Amino acid sequence: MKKLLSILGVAAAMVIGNITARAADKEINLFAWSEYVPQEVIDGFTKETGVKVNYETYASNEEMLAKLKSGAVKYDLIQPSEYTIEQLVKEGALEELDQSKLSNAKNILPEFQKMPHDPEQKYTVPWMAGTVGIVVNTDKVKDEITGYKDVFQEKYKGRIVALNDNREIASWALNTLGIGCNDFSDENLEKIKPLISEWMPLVKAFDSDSPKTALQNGDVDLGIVWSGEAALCYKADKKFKFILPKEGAHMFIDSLAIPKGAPNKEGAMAFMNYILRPEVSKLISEKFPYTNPNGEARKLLAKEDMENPASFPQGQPKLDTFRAVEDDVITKVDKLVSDLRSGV
Amino acid sequence: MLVAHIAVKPLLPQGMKRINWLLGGWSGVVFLFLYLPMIPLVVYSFNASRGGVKWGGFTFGWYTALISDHTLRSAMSNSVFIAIIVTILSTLLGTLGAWMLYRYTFPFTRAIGTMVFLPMVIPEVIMGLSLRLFFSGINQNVGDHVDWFALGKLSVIIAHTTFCFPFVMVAVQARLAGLDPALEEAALDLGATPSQAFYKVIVPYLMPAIVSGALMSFTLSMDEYIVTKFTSGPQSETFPIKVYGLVKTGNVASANAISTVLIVLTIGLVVVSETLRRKRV
Repeated sequence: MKKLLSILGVAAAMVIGNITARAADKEINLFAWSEYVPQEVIDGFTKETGVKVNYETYASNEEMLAKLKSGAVKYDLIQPSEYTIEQLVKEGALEELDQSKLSNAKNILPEFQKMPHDPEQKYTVPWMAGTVGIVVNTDKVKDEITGYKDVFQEKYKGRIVALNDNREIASWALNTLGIGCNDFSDENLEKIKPLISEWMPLVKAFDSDSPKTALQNGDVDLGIVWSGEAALCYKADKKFKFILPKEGAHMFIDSLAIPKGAPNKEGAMAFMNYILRPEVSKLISEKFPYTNPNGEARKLLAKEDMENPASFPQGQPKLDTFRAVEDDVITKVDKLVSDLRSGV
Repeated sequence: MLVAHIAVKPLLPQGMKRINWLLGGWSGVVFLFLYLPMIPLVVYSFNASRGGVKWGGFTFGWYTALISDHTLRSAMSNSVFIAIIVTILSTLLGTLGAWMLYRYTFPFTRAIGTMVFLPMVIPEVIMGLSLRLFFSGINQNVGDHVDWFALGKLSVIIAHTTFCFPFVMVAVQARLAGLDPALEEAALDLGATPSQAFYKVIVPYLMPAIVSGALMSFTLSMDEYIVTKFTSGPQSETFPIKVYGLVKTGNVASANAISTVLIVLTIGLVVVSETLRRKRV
């Protein structure tokens, strides 16, 4: 009986250890976009440093913010986009980075540094940049598509996939009206209402996680999607053409940042420096072909990848980043688009 | 000879044959409805195109990918680990709770008896949300000192136990309803202490109910999605969450392959347990 009890005791101790222990210096909690961090990169980092990466995913900046702010779990690394970074910096929710530990930061091209959301590059390390543009299956769609208005036509009803992101959708309407994607005054919101209510019934699927699937399966022939998804379509089949809307498009910069109070800042910094290595950054680019901000990594990429028009847009497209706006404005935009999507 | 023939094949009333045919046909349709959806799942797990519906050629690639994908393995081991702990906790809580409500009377016995079943009927989203708020609240207050209650394995275990133990309790209570009080009295009369009477007489009597409740808890915990989604953190990705993530990000073929493996394993288990059972009889 005594022996049994001691065995049980040891087992219980092991179980409790497994449940609760989070060796603060041997693990990092990474909260990042789905379909954005290759498993090889995580495994490579763990193999080299012995630090385990717990990778949890989200599908929108807003989802990430909600979980982060609930405080129910502490993350060491998050991967917000530019407007969310701007907001988090304003709120003082990010740790300042110790630049002496980021020896590889010099690989980032100057045009991706010190942007308006992080003017001194104190808080973030750019992961990938990209755009939101139009993918056309040219086998099925013969008309020339140049902008949002060409996509949202009655004849394409039920043949369109769009991002499941209300701020993105609102920005398409704002750009179409020539207002600029960051001006959410009440007056402008009234103006975009008829446009969005006309567009939404035409969309077959809203998908931010993997809109390429619907395109590649032939469920839809047109899409307004992340450029990386478009690049993967093009890589698989040249019939998928990528077009940046002439009215203007969103250019995003997703970056790694450390939230205030992160338990393992050291590990997080090491991970940042690791992904800035040219050969690691190249791996990310190959798996998820967005616009790589790492100049040294670009040199390692195959010519074919560098020439992918979705990954590296040619010419002088009209591009804008998103800026942080007040919470109540975002709520208003969200409600407006949600209501029109459900046909209220 | 003629007599025997009549005895084996009694004459059916007029029309009975037709009813038998109808019933047979109906059962066939029900079985088709149950099992037909699994066929495309198995077929498409050999599909070379990753997205699912379009056929891109035959491949074993998704199965070999499963072997090398350690994230799936860790999601599976998380699920099994959580389910085992949840089963142990729910069985203990459920059995003792049922015994307490049966054997003792105290203020609010009946109210407590009813309230315990709330987690069984409450919508899972609401349960998930309230648990998330609960853990957030704890963490905002003590999170700087102890991170035990940060969303992770422990929070998922607590959440699952909350809705699993009432199932054990129901099973045990049903069995207790048929318990002859004389059994315990006889044990006490023959010199057993109250705890001996419980362990040596009552528990063996309750065993079938305890086992079926425990199996129920294990299954419920293994395939729970909604509450888990609300209460899990980066270290506690469970198998259902992983598979849903795969489908959501377009890895339909991988999800098909892992599901096929599970179907084959389940069928194998059923076959083995059936043959064992038959041998014993």
